[in-house]
Order: sequence, then structure tokens, then C-alpha cells
Amino acid sequence: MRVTGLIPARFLTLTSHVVLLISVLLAREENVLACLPVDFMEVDYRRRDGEFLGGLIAGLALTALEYVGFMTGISMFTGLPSLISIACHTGASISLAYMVMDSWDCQLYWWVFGLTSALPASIEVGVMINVLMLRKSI
Amino acid sequence: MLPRESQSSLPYQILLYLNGWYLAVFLVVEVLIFAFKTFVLPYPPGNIVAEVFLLIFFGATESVRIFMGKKGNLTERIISLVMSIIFTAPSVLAMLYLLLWQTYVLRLEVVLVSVAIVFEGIELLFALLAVVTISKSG
Repeated sequence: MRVTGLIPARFLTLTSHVVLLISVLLAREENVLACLPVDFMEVDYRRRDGEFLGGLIAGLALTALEYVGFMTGISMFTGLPSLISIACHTGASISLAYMVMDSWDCQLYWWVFGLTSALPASIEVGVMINVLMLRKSI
Repeated sequence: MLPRESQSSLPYQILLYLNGWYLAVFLVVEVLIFAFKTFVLPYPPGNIVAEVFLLIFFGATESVRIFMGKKGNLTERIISLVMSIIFTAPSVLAMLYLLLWQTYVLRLEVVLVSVAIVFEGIELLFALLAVVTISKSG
């Protein structure tokens, strides 16, 4: 069976993930405050803020990697990896929107990062290795 | 005699195809944002009408630009590509209005419009490249 309509769906979910990551990055102050105790020091704030910012930039870098694989056509016409990627990025968009709205604890971001940025990016790297180095067609 | 090699640019075509999808979702999100802003924020009379008309104008110019770019690239006609390049100017101006001079600019809008402007810049570059390659081949 031919699966159609995956390319725009994947592009749009990836883009919404990027848009929400940038929105969280610009409005991260509340999330950082949510994971600090009531009486926190300036140093604690700086450290947490740095961790959170690093996580967000890592998420952006992983989506950039996926954009490269997608736009150059390496994984554009794959079936299952695209579906997994669409599911992950949809989940990421929804959970990041909740993160901004409900000002989640910044530690919870790492779950979002692991499940919805690292997982599809590692699948993408697997596809890239298969296609570019092992010369398989997926 | 062998048929002449195609001079159409594949990356340009990919970008235009994805930009069409991005435009559709952008317009839907922008309409929802306008609804949100009129419900929540106090508007001076007349402003929202002007902004809705600007959004309609923006959608029209963008769809003409994308259609002309696709057609010109596939049929290797310089005149359509030049039309597409000319239509870039009003749509960039409309986006600058949405980005800078609107009554209220949301953070989400800043991110969305920036993504659209990046798209437009890359497409302008590829359109110029396509014009050069097509005019060289005669």
C-alpha cells in the first residue's frame, strides 16, 4: 500500500516543533522559576537557566539535523521513520504548548527532549547511515 | 537527437511545495490569532478590519508568487520566474507589517513570520539561480 500525504504532514509537525521550541526559549523565565525553591539564590537561577537553555538549543540542533535529512531527500520518502517522526513531533508540539501555558517545571523538559527530539533524531541518523554509507534503499 | 536536459531546479521546487503548505497553516493560525486578539485585547476602531484585509492581500500575493514560481520553474519560462520575484516585494512588506507595525504583535507571530521570511529569502536566491541557469541554456 502506498502511503501518501506524509511529506507535508512531517514538514508541518517539524516546523511547529521548531516554532514552539523558539517560543519556549524566548519565554523560559517562568519555567526556570517553577523548578527553583521559594528562597533561591542568584547562582541557582543562573545554573538552572543555563541547563534549560542548553536543552532547548540541543533540541533545536536535533530538529535542524532532521530538517537536513528531510530536505535533502534522504528520509523524505521513507514510510515508517516518517510516521514515527510525525508522531513524536506532534507530541512535542502539544507538550511544549502545555509547558508554556501551565509553566511546567524545567526538569520535565528532559522527558519531552528524550522522547520527542532525541528519538526521531536517532532514527534519522540510522536512516542516514543506511542510505549514505551502506547504500540500502529504505 | 536526445531530448535536452531539464534546467528546472529541484531544491527550488521542493521549497515552493513546502512553502505552499506552510502558507496554508500560517493563514489558519493567523486567523485564530486575530480572533484571540479581538476577544482579549482592546482594539482601536478600524484597525482590525485593516489588518484582516492585509492578511487577505498577503494570502493572495503569496499564492500567486508560489504558483508563478512553480510554473516558471517547471516550464523553464523566465517571465513567470521574474513575476514570482516581483511578487516577493509586496509579500515581504506585508510580513514586515505583521512583524513590526501591527497593533499587537504576539511572540508566536514573531516566530511564525520570521520562518516565513527565511523561506522567502531562500526562495528568492533559488529563483535568481534558476533564472541564470535557464537563460544560460538559451
